[in-house]
Parts: sequence; C-alpha cells; structure tokens
Amino acid sequence: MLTNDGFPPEQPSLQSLVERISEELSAQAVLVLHENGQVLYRSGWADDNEYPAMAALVAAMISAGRSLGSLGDNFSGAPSRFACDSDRMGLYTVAVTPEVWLAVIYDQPLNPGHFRMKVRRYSEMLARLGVQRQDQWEVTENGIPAGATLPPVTAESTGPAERITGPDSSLFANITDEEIDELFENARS
Amino acid sequence: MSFVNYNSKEINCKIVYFGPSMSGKTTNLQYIYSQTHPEGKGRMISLQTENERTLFFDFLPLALGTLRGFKIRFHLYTVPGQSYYDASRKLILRGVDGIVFVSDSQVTRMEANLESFAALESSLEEQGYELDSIPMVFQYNKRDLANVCPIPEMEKALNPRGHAGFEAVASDGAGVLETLKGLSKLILKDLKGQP
Repeated sequence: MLTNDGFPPEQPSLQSLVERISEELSAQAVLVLHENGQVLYRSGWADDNEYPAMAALVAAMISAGRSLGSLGDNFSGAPSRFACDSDRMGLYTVAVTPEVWLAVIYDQPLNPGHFRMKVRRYSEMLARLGVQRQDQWEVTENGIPAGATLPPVTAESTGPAERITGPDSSLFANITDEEIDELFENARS
Repeated sequence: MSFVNYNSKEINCKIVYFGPSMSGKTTNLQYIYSQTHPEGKGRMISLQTENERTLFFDFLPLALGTLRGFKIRFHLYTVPGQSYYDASRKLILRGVDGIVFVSDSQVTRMEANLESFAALESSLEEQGYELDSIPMVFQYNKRDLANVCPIPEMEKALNPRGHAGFEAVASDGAGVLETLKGLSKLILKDLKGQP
C-alpha cells in the first residue's frame, strides 16, 4: 500500500525513528542497511561519500559471520548481533529482520550493556514499523516498486520537464546514451 | 538488485568485477578511483593480504551525479580471484546488478579464464540467478602483452552469448572507463525495462 504521491507510507516514520536513535544514543552514525550493503536509511556522518564504505564493510562482517555460523556444530546458528570496539569508539550491529540490519557507530558509552540493550529495542521498533517490507525498495521489471506510481518530476529535477505517471511508466523512460555519457563526464576529475 | 530510495531520490546499483586471479580487477577499480572527481567518490576499501592480493573484496562507491532527478550511485566490488575463495565470491555476488568479467588475454591464462567463468555461472545458479538475466560485459585485459590470444578466439571461448566486450590495458587505464560505462548503460536501461 502506497500513499497517493507514490511514497511508501512508513518511510517518514522510519527515517524519523533512525534520526531519533542517532540523537538518543549520541551516535556518530546510524545505518539501516540491507544485507547486501545497500543503505535504506541513515543518520549522522554528513559526508555523503563515507557511509557507503561503512555499509559495505558492515555487510561483509555480517556475511562472514553467517558463514562462520554455518561451519560445524561449534558455531551453530546464524549470529544476529555483531560488535567491535576500540578505546574510543565502537560499532554495534543487530538484525532487524533476516535481511535488514541496524548498525550504530558510537563513542564509548558509559554503560555498554545498557547501550546495547537500547539498540536491540530500537531494532524491534524498526521491525514493528515495517522496515522488513523490502518490496517497496526493490526495483521491479519495469523499474518501479510493485503497485507504485512515481512521484512527479519536480522543478529541481535535472531531466526534461516530463511527468512520469501511471503504473506502466518505466523509471527512465526515453533515456538516451548521451545522458549516460554526460553522467560519466561529470564524474571525471 | 537495484535499490531505489524514493525519499532521497537515490538509485544504488551493485557492480561486481569477476575474473581469475591477477587478471586486473583491483587495477580497474584503482584506475576508476584515480580518475573520479573527489566529490564523486567515497573511500576505496581493499581487504587484502600482506602481498596485496584481494582477500575478501575491494569496494569503491561511485556517485555519478543526477539522472532525471535521481542520484545515481554505483557500488563497485571485486572478488578474490583464487579458486579457494569461492565462499567469499558467492557472498559478494548477492544482490548483484551487473557483472564485468575481467579476463586475462595471455594465452597461458585461458584455462584460468574458463575456470573462473564456470565458477561464476555456478555461483549465480546456486543463488537463483540466471546468467542471461544479469547485465554483463567482458573485458579482455592485458592487451599490451606479447603472448595474447586473438579477440575472436577469446570471444568464442568465453563469450558465446555475445555480450559486449572491451579490450583493455587496465594498468594504464585503457578501456577501463569504457568497460564501466558499457555496463552502466546496460544496468540503467535494464531499470527502465529495455534490456
């Protein structure tokens, strides 16, 4: 179910919850990420270019942990929490669903046990709010979430003044090779 | 699969550079990193052994800019090439949106190319992917060396499906960006349902 403007209805509340987690835990950063390393929601770390690397490494840690969990009886069961610490900061990662994880990067808390319990509670809140509804993020064959209509192209959009509507509209209708070439030219140093 | 974040209007795509050991996968990423505007790239992560061989993966987040109001971000991964890192490769292939198969053009490495491609096929199949449904390009790397296999022979052996192929010398950057651009076009066009 989507709102009239095509946005998943739970999205604003999930984003605000992530910001609340960041604020209440005084976290450096909070990421809600898919197990394959894609970030769904985030708060903190103003540098736009830094968080994808953190997400990729967290996802790698999760993947490696799961593989360890499949090695014989001594590691039986897939881990649902990961933690690493230094003297000054730490990372605590908790499964929200089997595919979605909450990762909190923090300065050393006064009470680590209490801190981790709070993170686990927040992960439960995220699960209750429906972060597991992956279908609203995945791109379907025609480029849009199932049942969704795309939000109208706004004045800020850089593309042609084209309004994309209707469930059959594709994400990049009429895209040209020149547009893609331009993307790469702009990215070059 | 690609993720579209309608709130922040971002599209994230995962691209994996696959191929035999020492074929130049990491070199591809290093060149892309060196050629990208500082604002468009994040930190390049390399999980390597002491002798600079890829242990788990290399990762480079690349923000290409805005397309029709959506920020386009590519997450570039390499896999470790050695055959005993099969488990790592399978993990990295999860959620892949497009694959660059980096082959080594040296005649003596053809068997390694074929083995690696077979491993790619089986890894994808194990995870429920169909090779034909994933955007893919081939890179015939190390074309500057003396004992290289002719392109038609490489295509016949490795690329019977006729995916786009690019000659490259990744160590000096030749063909590297062309390869990435070729795959990016396939991925973005696939998003709009026009493979």
